[in-house]
Amino acid sequence: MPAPRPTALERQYARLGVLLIAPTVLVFCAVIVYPLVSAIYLSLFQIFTPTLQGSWVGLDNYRALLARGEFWTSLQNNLIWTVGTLTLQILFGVAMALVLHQNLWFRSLARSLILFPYFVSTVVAVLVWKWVFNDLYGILNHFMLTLGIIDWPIDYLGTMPNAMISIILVGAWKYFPFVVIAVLARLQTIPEALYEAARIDGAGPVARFFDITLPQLREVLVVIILLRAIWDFKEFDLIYLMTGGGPVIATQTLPLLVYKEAFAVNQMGMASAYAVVMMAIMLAFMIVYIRRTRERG
Amino acid sequence: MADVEFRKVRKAWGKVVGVADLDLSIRAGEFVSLLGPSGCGKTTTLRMLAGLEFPTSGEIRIGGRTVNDLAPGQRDIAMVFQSYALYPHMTVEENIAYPLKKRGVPRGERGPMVARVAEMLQLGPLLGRKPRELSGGQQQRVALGRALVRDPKVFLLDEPLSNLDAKLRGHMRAELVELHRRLGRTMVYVTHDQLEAMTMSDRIAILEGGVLQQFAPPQEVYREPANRFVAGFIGTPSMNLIDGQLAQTGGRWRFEAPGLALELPALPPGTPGGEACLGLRPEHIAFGSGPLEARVALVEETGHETIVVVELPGGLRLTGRTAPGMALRPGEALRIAPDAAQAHLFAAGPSGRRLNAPAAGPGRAAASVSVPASAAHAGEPS
Repeated sequence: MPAPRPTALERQYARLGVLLIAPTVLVFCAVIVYPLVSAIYLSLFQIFTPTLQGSWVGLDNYRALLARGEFWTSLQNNLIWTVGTLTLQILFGVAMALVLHQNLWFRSLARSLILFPYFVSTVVAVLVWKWVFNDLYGILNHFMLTLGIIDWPIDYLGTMPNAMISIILVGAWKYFPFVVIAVLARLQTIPEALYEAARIDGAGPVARFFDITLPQLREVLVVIILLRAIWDFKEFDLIYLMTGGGPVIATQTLPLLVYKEAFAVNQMGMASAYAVVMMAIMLAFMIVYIRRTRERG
Repeated sequence: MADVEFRKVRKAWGKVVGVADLDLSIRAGEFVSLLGPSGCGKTTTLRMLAGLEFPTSGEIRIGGRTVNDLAPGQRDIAMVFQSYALYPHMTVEENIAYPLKKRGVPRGERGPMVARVAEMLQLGPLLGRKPRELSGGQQQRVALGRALVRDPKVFLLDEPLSNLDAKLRGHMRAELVELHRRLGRTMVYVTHDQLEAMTMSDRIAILEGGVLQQFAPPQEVYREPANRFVAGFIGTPSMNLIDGQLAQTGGRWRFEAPGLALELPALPPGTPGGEACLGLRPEHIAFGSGPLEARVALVEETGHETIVVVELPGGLRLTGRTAPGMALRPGEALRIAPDAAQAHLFAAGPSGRRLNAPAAGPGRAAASVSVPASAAHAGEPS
């Protein structure tokens, strides 16, 4: 059966609809689609960044990057950083959300204060943390020396594995409030009657957490983990400002490698190839995320 | 099976009193309803019995043991919640088995116990499903199953039927009564629906403002309401409550209100005269003939009966019920005959306690005539 011809009013609505979404679509194309397509295109050339002059090399950039140790080291660093900081964010975020879900008298104040790290600008946060971690005049070494925990100052950012641990900790500190907010929002929607039923059924506090709270948080945790995994994977400024990828390339992740390749080594084509590979990896996360959220909807 | 006792139990949040010095003794095996309007303290009472709220003072005993300091899980009770509170991520089978699991019943023994309950409640085919895949009635059954599986001393039910549609509610009511008969367990049932309380309970505890108003079997609550609140709360349509003057002349009691004067049967000695409240159930007003003039104000046909609201010359409105088919139209004049022998008399003022003894029985003659001049044939059985 052929679809009935749209009426004049329906056509008028359709025209209005196109008119209304047109600006969004145009901006989307300009800032998302164009850079994406051009990155893929550029990755097929050998380009000198300052002049943007180059020659077609096909897939040579990809062959080269897969053969380079630096790529694999950066990918490995990227995974260690993502898994490490994400795990801490989730653990600390869920624990803090559980505390803030209790009826504490300072609850409203604490709920606002907890957001502070998330809202503070990365540059400011990093400056503060670099002071804290400084091996010469940092307050952390000062306290540890005073308390007699250490005999010599520790170099937190200039040696391994200290540098990786430091950025993972700062990353966790910076981004755990996101987990707190999301988990807290979910906690508040778990019906109190479930806990009461469990108490009558003989479940203690620990059993109630594992039998009621955790299963109820499962859905939101999956979404948080996927979102944060994507965001942490592409984190640039925090790591770049903290260690610059050092010592040497010990904390260099893929975004830092892309930056170095494009603007320090001046190889825009190679940098684009790195970026495209990075995007492919993140696409895997994104597909899972979209699937999960679609199922929920 | 165990008896339940509340001794001077009080629950207050600051200055707000939820339950005021409640004394209530529930016998072992009894089905007791806590009935009252929203905010009357019935749910708070049940939650204190469950251990979900702590009494401010007083003592709660289950099976002779004080349970004030026992956690809900240690009281050997089971509760069915208004929202059912089924664990959404567990299957029906896991939901029912959960209380067993938490009490350390070995895995091997849980299966047969769940199966027994599932059979009793016809849940067999649903055991593998999640709660969200069940209808309201099925969820209700699962909640019951979770309560039944452990065979607790006391069952607590918090408005368990209020989320079901009318037909299913009637069905579940009958099932619960049957279940109680079969198990013989003590059941405490919270409801704001008097029909549920009247049809299911051995005794009804009526609460208002945190205060126990009456604790008696359903028929007694209906025939002999202890005070004005109970009289107005129990019965649909509600009892006509008429404020007026009570006076004794020549050994006869007489009640007068604008447009209405009624000779009453003998009242207990010492009954104060003056302001009082007269209660008349709608079924105790006869239409068509009688000593009083009235005008039809409103007619409601419900199918099996007709509710008629009439207005007396003094502006007083009375609600009555008649068999269907009596052709009455608003505005029409008619005569009515209130049955004074069935009248309830309450003291004026907020307490509104009952003043007269109950009428002898339901089959009592409507003999007392309500013409101001006529004599009332009080206390005469038919």
